[in-house]
Amino acid sequence: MGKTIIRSLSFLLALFSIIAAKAQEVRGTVQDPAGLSLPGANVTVKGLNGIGTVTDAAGNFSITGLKPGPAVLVFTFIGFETQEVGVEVPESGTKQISITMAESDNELDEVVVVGYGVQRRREVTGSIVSLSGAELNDMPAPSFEAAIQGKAAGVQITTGGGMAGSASVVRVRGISSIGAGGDPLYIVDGVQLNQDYFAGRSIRNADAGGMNQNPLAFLNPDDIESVEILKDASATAIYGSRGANGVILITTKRGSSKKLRFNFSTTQGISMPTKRPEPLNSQEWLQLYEEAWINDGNVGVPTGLPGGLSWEEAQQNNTNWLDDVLRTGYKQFYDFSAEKSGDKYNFYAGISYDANQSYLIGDQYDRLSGRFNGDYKFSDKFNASVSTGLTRGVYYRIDNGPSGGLGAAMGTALPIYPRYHDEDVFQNDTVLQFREGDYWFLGGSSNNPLGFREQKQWRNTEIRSINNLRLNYTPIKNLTISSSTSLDYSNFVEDLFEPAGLGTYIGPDDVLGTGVSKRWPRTSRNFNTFLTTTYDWDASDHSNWKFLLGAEYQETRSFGRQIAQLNADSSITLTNEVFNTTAPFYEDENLRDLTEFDSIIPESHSKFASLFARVNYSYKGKYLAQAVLRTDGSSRFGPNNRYGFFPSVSAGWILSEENFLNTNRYINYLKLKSSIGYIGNANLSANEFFARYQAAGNYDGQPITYPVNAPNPNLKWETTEVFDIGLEFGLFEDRITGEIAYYRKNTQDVLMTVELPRINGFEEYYDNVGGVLNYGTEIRLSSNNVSTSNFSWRTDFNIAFNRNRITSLGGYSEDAVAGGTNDTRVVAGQSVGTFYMVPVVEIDPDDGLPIYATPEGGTTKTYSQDLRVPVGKGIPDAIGGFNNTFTYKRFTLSTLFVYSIGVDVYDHSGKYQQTSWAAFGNYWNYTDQVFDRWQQPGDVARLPRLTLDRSTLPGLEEDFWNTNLWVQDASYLRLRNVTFTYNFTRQAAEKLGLQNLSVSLIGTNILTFTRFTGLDPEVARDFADITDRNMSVNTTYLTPPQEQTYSVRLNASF
Amino acid sequence: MRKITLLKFSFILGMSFVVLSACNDLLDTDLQGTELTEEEAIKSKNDVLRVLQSCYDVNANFYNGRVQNLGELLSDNLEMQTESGDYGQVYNHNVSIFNGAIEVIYGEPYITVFRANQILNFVENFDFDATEKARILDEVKFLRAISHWEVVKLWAQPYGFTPTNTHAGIVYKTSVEVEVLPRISVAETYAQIEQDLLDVLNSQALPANSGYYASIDAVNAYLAKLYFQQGDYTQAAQYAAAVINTGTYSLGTSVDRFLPDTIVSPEVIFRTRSYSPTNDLRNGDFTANYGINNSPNPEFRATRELYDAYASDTNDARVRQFLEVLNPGTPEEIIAIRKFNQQVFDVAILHLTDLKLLRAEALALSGTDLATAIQDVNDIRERAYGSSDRNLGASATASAIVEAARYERRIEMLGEGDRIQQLKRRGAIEGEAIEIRGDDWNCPGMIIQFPATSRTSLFELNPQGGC
Repeated sequence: MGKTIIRSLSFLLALFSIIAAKAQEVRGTVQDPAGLSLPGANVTVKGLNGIGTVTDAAGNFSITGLKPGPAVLVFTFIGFETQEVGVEVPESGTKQISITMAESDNELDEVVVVGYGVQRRREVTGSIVSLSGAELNDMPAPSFEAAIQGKAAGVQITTGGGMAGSASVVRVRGISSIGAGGDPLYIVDGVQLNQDYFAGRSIRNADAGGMNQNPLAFLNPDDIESVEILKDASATAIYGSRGANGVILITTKRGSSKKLRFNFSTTQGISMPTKRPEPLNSQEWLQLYEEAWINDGNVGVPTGLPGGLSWEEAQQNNTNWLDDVLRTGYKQFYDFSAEKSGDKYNFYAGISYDANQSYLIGDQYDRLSGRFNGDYKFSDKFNASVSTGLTRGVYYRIDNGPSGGLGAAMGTALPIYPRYHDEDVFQNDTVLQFREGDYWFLGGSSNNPLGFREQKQWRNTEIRSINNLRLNYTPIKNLTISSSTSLDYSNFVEDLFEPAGLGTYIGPDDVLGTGVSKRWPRTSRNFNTFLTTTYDWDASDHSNWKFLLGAEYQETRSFGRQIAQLNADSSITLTNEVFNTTAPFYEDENLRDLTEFDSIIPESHSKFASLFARVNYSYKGKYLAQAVLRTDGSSRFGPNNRYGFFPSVSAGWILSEENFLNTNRYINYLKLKSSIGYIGNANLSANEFFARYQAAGNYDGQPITYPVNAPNPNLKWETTEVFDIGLEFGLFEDRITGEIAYYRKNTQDVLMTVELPRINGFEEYYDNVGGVLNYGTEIRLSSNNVSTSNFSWRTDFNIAFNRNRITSLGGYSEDAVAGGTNDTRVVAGQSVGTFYMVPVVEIDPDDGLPIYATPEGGTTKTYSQDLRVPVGKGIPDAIGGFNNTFTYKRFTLSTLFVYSIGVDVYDHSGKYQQTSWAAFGNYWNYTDQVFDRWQQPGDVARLPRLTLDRSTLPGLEEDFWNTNLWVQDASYLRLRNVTFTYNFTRQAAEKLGLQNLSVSLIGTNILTFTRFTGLDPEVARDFADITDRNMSVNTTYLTPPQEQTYSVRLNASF
Repeated sequence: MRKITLLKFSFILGMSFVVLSACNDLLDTDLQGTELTEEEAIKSKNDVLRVLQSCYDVNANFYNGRVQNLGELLSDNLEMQTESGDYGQVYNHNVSIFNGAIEVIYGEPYITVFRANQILNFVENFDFDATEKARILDEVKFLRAISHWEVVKLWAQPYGFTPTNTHAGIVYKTSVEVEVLPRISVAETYAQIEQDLLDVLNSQALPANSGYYASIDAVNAYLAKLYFQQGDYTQAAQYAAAVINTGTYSLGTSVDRFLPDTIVSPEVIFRTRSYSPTNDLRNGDFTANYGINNSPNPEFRATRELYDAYASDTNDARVRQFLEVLNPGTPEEIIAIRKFNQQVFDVAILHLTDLKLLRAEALALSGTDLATAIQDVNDIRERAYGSSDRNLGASATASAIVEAARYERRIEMLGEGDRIQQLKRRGAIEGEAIEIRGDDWNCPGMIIQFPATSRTSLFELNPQGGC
């Protein structure tokens, strides 16, 4: 009873004191350095736990319940320096203050975008790389991802060849996939991108012309605010079955200026190849032909030249086809944007135009894009955001690689071929066959790259729009419900016009007026919506919980269109071609009006339905833990495995907050973190788990029905167990910062598109049978070497070591999975995409024939595919980059080197460029490596004797002479980027009516140090399919070398 | 408070996952293009029959010259214009594991086998009556047997290559499961083929004759050839007689059996159809390689040795109709084969000429009923020469009959892929020292190499390295 009375009295006293204390109040406004209000900033009273508030939408706050007298208010907000302000609380009065918070230079306070939210870097337990937009537009690149190269540890970017619309291959911590897509998941403002590298005229026929489509080129790099690359399970498990290959989060810009601000930037530049090919001239080529002719035991004037040329005619020609395919390309880029941020709203609106011309004549990618991002606050509890972008990309295409163009100029377009007929040519002396001035196509149509390009018209046009609407509702403090609805729309049209003639392109001009117009329209729609609920719960002064619960649905559908033609027998033919035309569709209005693409052909349709949850716990701000669980159901999975569960747990410990370190003179920040989880890769082909049929065709006049695939009802995602441990540190007051991480990714159920033993009745089978292991170490270091008022020097360095090994093939052979037409294979114990070929020990000095090693350790002179062994790999042992930034007063110079160590390139076309017989019906021009060949007994040479007769090489029954002669070390160090910038003073800018003005001189791919003797040690060729893309990086087939560019960039705001 | 919050969170999470997992329909999607699901495609008995028809469709593609050409290229009947490319490897007796044409040809009979095996599953799902069902099952076994038969003849060393025939044969596929399987022996392969064919005979659900489809006569003919290749000449003769004696077939007057579908050759037992109303040609690989008007020249042409063996007899209708010397007396002289020099024709697979010559040789080799053997040879000769001038006498010896039958067989069945099998049989069963264009009949290159994709942990490829 007594205790009850005491408690009651205490309660009354406390109540009284609170009522009394409420007479005092501190009010104020919090804003950023630009004068914008800061909603959501935390305001607490030092020493008084439980008393505090957050600023409202206008940045206002009010705290009551304080005792009169001095008090210290603590203002905290992510991305800003924590600020303590002393106030004198008046008795029974109100104290009004205004606070301007300084932006934090401490990257630990930076906000990092994570899946379905943001976190402070200090609190992150996963492995995440953040890059600002400025780091992505410091160089002209086909698209933004190419600019990441060398800047993020463990992220390998292999830029496509020098073609304007080419795509890069991006690998995060190695490659875990073989038959499923190995690219990371890209998310723009919450929209999961539909990335199809094989879009184009039809599925499985998208490497036409020597390149693949780049599905990321639509994004204007100047619209990007930041890019986050999620690497470990802790960070990516929230994306479940799609996170195993890493996740790249792209955040576009939003209005951030209190006043209406306009930004303008332009880049003007030129493009040229990093290395110019040097094929032989006519005289040299004929000399080698004659040498081969003599080696084969022939005498007299050589005969058998291609194109029906006599020896004398050939000697009179000397065409350097490079002059017909190369140029100095001109690049121009313009970006204009406006932005404003008010109390209730903000917006960012921009438009840009990019005319990206490569050094290849006729090759240009034009992009016109617009963006509008806006946020509106309806109330303190409800706000909405919209992000929308619309792009029209036009790719003016030419043939390249195996299809012609530069590829032909380096290969099958011989210097003995003329460009034009120099006189009328008659058949049987009567019928005019060719006229003087007609293109000379007698060596094969694509072997006149000039005529081939001039007569063929080819263009890809894409309308792409990414749209997102997000609604946020905060019914009570710390509880927020968000909905996001997105549409990624693409309308892709490929157009071709091929004039008719005798053969596709051969004939006098008067028959070139008619031809065939081809059009492949393709539309894809990617609908994505998710709902999340987040709740922050401060369980105690030291204990903080964050909960996230979400549900997501995604549906992607694409379809092509064809013309339905009614045949004479009432049957219908579906086609994409119209004959007897004179121009492509985009030029011929009548053709467009008369042709209806009225038959819709579904190409792909997939769905995902997901639930996910994340719990973060922080104790005393130094012990961190996170758990993530996601379940994905997908139409791509077989009925026996329709749902997958993807959990991860992680923990972090900020040691520098402990007593034993917090006074250390050298270490000011130290965090140990580790995670483990299971994530998946669901980038599978659709509809492979059930039997599909065609009811089409006849035999003996009777209709037939037949199966088209070998179904696998057990088909499912790939599962990767990812372990990661890392140490983040800041030394000498953050003069040196960095991170060391070790990871181990063990992937099971690797999907392999198996080339099935034909006994099973089908060519391909999708099977989860493989195993791939990746493990490695990453080191990132940043050092502020010098920091004075006038001069500073900063170095950023990263290196990533990765080991990649196939652990299981599920009983299939090395040849069960092949990288397209390349000679990359899967070999247990070796890396994905091993070059699997016959090793040449030496060229016999006596007779110039190759001597091969046998698997048993012996040698033989008889070539056989049975001799194949792993002879090289396209996955580097280590990759990285280092960037030095020097700032002197208003000048800044940055130099970025990138490197790749312990990697080979397979020069697939080299075997034809360095041999002398007609391979697949074509003679080839040589590279200068042919000079290191056997010519007479006693010669010690790298290449064998020349011959016009392949059969003089024992055992060589086919033109696939796959030996390690064509595999070379391709480690390189490349000066990737040099940027020299001058920032005008504010006064100078204002004289021009501007707020800011800077001018930069930019050079890319300026120097390359390598022992590779081919064109370029960095190769991503045209891939045949997903498996090829995973396996055949660093295989070249007449692939155009990278661009070397020099540009001027101007940035201004007003 | 903490417990309550965590409990609520966990409950909501758990319930959500359960609800989601129950939503299978949510994840249903459309198919690509004009494809159908099995439920859509196989809804009726008629749909099952359409799948059966597709087996014959693939069979016709396989027999459109491809499989026949492989046999001829291995043999001593042909020369090639280029001696290169995929067929050039066959001709040179050294086929690579990366031979694209071979991969296709090897795969096609197994496509037929897959569909045939699948029909075995479908049949149970529909109310076929007993007669219908028995006939379908018989057709399935027939197609399965002949598909494997064509594979084992080319991709494995012949019966008799080893005394016990335990040398590697092929995979005999009887299920639709995707499997990694080892090769069974040649003895086992032959036994399986025999069993399937005998099952059909025992069932007796097939019509006696059919032309384009499975029939009792076709089964008997295949069995005759199977036993003949095994050196079981008694059974070979018996099964050949079972067809010959039906009286359904006659040699007719023309040596040409490769005729348009509108013309019925009286001697053809089983053939594939080029359907002229829709210009559906199933003779493409013959035409492409033998066409006498091909530019610049036909890829396949007869060897000089073959020509010289027959050309002296100007009365031989086969020489007149099948062979033609182009550019005589010039360096470009070649001996073209006109036998397939038409745009559209049915491909005869089994015919009376084959069975008569088979029976003649079988009877002679087994030393029984030489009179019938002599008559069989003479039937062929009278048609070829238009008279009985070249007939064997009634007292012809067994060896003379054998020699005559082989002589006639080579020219009669030129281009049909038969010659190589006879040479191998003679080497393996009769112990003759057979050389084929300088290579021993049993050297590694005399059989076709499997595609690289065939190699698994259980399946061994043929030895590489030619002859």
